[in-house]
Amino acid sequence: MYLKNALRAATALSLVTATGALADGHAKSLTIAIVNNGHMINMQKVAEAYTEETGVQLEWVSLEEGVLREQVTSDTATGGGQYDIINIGMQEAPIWGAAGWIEPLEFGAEYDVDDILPAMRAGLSHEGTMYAAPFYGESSMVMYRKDLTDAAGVTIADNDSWDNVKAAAAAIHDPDNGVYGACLRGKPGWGDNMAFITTVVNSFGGAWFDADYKPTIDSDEWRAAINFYVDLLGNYGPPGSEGNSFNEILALYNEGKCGMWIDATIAASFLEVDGVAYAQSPNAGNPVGANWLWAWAMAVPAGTENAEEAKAFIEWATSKEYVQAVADHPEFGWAKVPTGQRASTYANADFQAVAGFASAELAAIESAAPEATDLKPYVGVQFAAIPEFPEVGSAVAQEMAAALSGAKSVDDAIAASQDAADAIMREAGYY
Amino acid sequence: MSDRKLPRLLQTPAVVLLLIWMLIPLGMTLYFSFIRYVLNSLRRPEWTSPSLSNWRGFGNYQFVLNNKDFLFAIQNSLVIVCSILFLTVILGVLIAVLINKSFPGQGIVRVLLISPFFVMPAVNAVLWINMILDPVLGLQGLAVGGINGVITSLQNAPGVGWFFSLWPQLEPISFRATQTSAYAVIIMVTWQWTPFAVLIFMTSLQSEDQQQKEAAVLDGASTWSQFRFLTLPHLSRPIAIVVMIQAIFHLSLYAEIEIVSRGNGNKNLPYLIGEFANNNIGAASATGIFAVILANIVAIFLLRMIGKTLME
Repeated sequence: MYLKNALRAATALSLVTATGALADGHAKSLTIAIVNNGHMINMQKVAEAYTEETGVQLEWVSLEEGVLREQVTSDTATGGGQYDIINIGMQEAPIWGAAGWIEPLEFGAEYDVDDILPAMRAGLSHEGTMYAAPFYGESSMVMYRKDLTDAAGVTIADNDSWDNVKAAAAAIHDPDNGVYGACLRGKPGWGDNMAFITTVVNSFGGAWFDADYKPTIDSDEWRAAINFYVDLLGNYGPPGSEGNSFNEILALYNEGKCGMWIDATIAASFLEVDGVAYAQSPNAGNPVGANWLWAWAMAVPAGTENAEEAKAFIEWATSKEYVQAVADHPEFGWAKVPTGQRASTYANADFQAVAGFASAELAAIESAAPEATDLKPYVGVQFAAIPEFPEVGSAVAQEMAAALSGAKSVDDAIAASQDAADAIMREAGYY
Repeated sequence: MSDRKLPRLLQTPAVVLLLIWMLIPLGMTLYFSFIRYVLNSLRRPEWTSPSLSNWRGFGNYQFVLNNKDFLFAIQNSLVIVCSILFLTVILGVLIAVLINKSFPGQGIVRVLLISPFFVMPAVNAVLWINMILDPVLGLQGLAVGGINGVITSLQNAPGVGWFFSLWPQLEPISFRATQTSAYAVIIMVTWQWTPFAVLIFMTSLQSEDQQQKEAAVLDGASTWSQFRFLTLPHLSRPIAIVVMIQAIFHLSLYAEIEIVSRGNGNKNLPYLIGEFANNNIGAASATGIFAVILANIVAIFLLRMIGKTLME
């Protein structure tokens, strides 16, 4: 303990001498680890006003998603105390809250916690206590080119059946002219292809684990879902689908190569192609729904000494005032506000005017149910909020990519997935 | 104090520091590999802090050995390293011999040849997989699309159409697929490291005995014989050095594998360690020990080989 304090003091001293920040004796500094995507990068500019107002200096550490996850996990797990505020997602928030790695968040009445969409709050809470505040959120939906479906004489309805979706993909599939019927994620990763595949499995009535946390990947529901997925993407997807995730498909879509895309709602704000239409995700009849739910949220690690200041900053950065501040900012405006976290944003007429996808996005988020149910005994929609899930998810993800690229049959890939997941869960002491 | 004691005494701090430098990380890895240690667990919170009471013996090693990808990772490590070594040495020797002769623009050609070596590994991988090998938007996709377009138009041409209608349409190859992702890594790393081999061989060629060569020419030796019996033996030492340095570097490939395929159909021991290190530190440490053993086996072979060459 002495050594730790001494080290801390030495670090603090060197920081102070380096920056001269202690000049007035009050200036506090917060170190914030963020994921390097658009909304967070914008926050660095918007927050300059916060520093002016409160005098709290903000040090930003911006990292790529995977690196951030690794850094933050090891720092938080070992109580390293490198960061005062961290960006985490829905997978981590409930587990880390339960483990006591991050502090519970309670804000004043003005914050209007009821304005936060219920699905978001549920996904970021453990036993009713919120451990991370959503900065922006997303679900998934179908985005398709109306010109192509009209020309082919097909329609895609909200919560359509998978068979209709496949028929529509077949009708608009025209590889000779560089247009592929369906662009879907295939790149291995629990946050990449498994995010989509899990929603398909959910819609077929499958789940990752049963009530004893035994993996249920070798169930008939999984088999049906994976066969469908491999069939749809293998026949009507672009070549090289096993390498495509969000960014790759976005590039393909904007090049006019995709007829239909089922992915994160946030994609809608990046689409530069005209005539994009939206529909709620297809479903095979399962009440859980077929769209995912994700939020990038801000949390305070238990190791920090600036917990009060950190909470105050989070209260500001996830508030209605922040959304307004982005809208008022000369560089951004309503088209750039973070979405998916607060009902009030969707009620705003200025926002509705610039965001054609707003109602579809809100409907998708509201229909997602992250809570544990009889069908799936774990928290989370396209993942399970348990510490072992990233390991299980990546192992299965690679098998699914192998099935997609034809290196393995679907049955072999499913059997290997079940064995790998079973070994990991057994190793973790679940049974 | 005798003559030898003082120098030894003065060396002690450096030696002790070196030992600490090496032994502490290795010792920690060994310790973690014998205990249950996970970063987070809802079921067994006692496993989340490293402690002797979580002693597990060889359990972690057993878990790693039973992992479906363990043997594949070792095999794949060796396949990748050997392929890259084979290709870089052959390409390196050929290019070095070619550009050793003086020709106009030699300086520029040499700089261009060496430049891939200064590209960062992650940049190299992103560049190749997205801009060159991508089956739709990359150079490969565009080229295949272009060739198919030409074939189609020739098929409709009068007179020769019947001939070209026998030609198949080309299919672009997906280099992120399970079957091909290792090739993508081999291609991009070979591209990056060939310049290194060229650089070393070129330097060595400049010290080649010119008189001996002239004598060979006078004796009527062919270019091939000169290359086979003079240049190649002369290059054996630099080849051994290139092989050793590259083997050490390529056993720890990571960025390229992550970017190309995320371990799909193509992973090595460092990648496997990375996958375990998400949560299961015990298994990651056990894999780390396996990696140390593998690296040592490779090193013993290489040192023997190089020792021999250097003794000659």
